[in-house]
Amino acid sequence: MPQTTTDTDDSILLALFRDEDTREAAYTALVKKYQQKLYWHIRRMVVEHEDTNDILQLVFIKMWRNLEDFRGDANLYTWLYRIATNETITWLGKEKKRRALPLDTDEGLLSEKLEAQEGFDAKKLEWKLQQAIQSLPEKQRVVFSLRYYDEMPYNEMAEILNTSEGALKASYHHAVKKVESFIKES
Amino acid sequence: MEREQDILKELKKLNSPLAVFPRTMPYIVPDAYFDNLPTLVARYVLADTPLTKDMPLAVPDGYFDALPQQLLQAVKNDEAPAKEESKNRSVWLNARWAAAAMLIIFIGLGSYRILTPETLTIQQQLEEIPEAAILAYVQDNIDEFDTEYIVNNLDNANTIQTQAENLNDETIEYYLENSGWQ
Repeated sequence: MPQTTTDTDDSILLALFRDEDTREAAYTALVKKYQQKLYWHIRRMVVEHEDTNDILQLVFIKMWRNLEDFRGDANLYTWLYRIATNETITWLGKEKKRRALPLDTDEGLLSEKLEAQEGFDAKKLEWKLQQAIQSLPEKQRVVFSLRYYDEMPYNEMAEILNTSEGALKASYHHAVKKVESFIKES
Repeated sequence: MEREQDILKELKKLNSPLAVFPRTMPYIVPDAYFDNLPTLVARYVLADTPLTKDMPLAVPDGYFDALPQQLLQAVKNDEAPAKEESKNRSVWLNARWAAAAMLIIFIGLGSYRILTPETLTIQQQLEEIPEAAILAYVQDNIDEFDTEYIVNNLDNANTIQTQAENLNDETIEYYLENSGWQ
């Protein structure tokens, strides 16, 4: 079976990107390849589609501007996840500032947005799970999302979040327990 | 698939019910969003970034040859900025004096109108305003915006004195009545 564009190896796409004649096609192929993974990673953090779209576009614009200088010693997909995570955290910080919320809490900010989502039903397990995730502290939420939804190994998470694997494992286990107790109590 | 098994194994080890929870996302994404995004982003970045590295802006002939010499000359003539600074300082001082003088007229008249008997003329009242009171008022109430305003309005006046002389008693009284000083 012939390989589709989205299956194309990153190193090939990177080589194509470095050539001006094929740059645009390679860029589009990379966006197609990573858009859904990055979209969901961001959306689980910010909840609303419009905000997710803004951040995602910013991530891909950064990819365009910096990809030529990207060195092969890092994994392209962890590099993109790092940009997405940093952009999302920056955006959340600005949002809290805009709403005059303390920087160490998301309380109210995301739960309101979650409840305003189309089809929201607090009785349904998948929505309860999202509520539980939004109740986690910001960094723990990133860790939970990368592990539980993106099924990312700890060593790759460590690369993205610049933290030790041990610390990430502990953070994930804490997050799992908090999510469980949130669901039990609700 | 292997990764999914790892995640589930880990959750089972933690005796977590999350191992059997549905991991589907309940959020709704607009129709065809993922079909359109690559084109949309590509269009944006291509419009924003020129593909060629050639600079479209021209530099005058010999600009870079003459630049070191020009810079050297500017460094040698370092009095020039000092002159400029001194000129600025003089404008600033004039502005401050102008502000002070204007306020002498307005505040002084206001307070003396209240505190002194009716028999005193406006000119007499002005003369008796203590300097310290004027300076204190200027310090507390005048900022750069006021100064700038006053300076701009001094364009047609030769001196502060001539401007003050142009004010007749009627005008000053009218001002005091309407500005709440009286």
